[in-house]
Amino acid sequence: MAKLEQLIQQFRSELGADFVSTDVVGMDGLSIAGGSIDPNFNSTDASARFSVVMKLAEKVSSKIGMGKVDDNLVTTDKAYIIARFIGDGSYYWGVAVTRNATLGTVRMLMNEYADQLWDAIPR
Amino acid sequence: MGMKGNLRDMAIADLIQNNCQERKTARLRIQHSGQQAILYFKDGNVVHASLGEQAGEEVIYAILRWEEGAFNLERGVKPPANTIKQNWSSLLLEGARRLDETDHENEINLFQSDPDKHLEANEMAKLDDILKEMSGEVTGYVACALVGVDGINVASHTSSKAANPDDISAQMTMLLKLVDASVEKLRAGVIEDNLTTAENAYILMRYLPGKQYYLGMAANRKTGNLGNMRLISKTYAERLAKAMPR
Repeated sequence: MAKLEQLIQQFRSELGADFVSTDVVGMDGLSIAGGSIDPNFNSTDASARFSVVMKLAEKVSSKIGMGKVDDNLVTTDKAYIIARFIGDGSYYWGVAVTRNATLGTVRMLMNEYADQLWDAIPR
Repeated sequence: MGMKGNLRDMAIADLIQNNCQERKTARLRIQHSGQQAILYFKDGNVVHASLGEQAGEEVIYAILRWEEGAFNLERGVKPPANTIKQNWSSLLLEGARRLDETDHENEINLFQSDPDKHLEANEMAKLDDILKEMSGEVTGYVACALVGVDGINVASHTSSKAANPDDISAQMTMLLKLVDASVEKLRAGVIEDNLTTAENAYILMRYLPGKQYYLGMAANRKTGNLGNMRLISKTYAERLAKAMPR
């Protein structure tokens, strides 16, 4: 678990001031690592809510023949919220950043860290 | 030997064609809404027709519209007059042309008597045009739709027969609603769009102002471009919002 937390810290530092929250979440909606730096953004609630979103995304994508879901990006007037399946899909990785963040960079960093996070989950 | 039946089972055009092709000499009586039309066949043509005071080709054109009514065909009855000069196929062709013309006029009259309906039809066509135009600007374009929050398409366009916009919209609306509710509960701001990246496609949904409708678009995962999709969806969502019927 220490490795997982260490990777999350690294990821946070790479995002700098735009970082809001990140969690590695099981599909039961429970976070196994991470947290929010914004007291107004409850990462526990976010983890639970977005596990339902990801389950539904997977279901509808399969129904309409679009195949397996990789990620889901929500853009609000305040933030970008990205939820991305990792490994075999039994976990997802949620990241929230401010609207000032460079979306391309966030996605690039997530690509870079996704496999490392999966490998760091104790099994 | 004769034949009896109803126009529901055999149309007047078919009755004329059959009798003429079989070169029958016969009388065909057709009852429709208290009127009786009588047609006479001889030597492979309709040679006489009457309807009340009317006789000749105009009777054929008038009765081709009848879809209900009993008919009775009696063989061997000779025509009392010869009021039709055209051959049967020309008669049917001209009759079909007149039917089309009348249908078109009725459509125009309907719009003229109901200006709102005309306006609505024009506005809906405008939405279709905007979607079609947008399709040319999206890299890897697959399909797009303007969808109500009830999941029903207001307008749609697709480049692929495999993609059914109605099915996609119905399913994706559920996802957008869930994302919207989640964002609201988390107090993470007001949702602008949602982009799902799947194995075969990118699917973007962007609300129009008022959040009663959204623009959905799908692009091929291999050839699509996220930046292009987001930019185009933003531009066209504004145009669609302005073009929406009020």
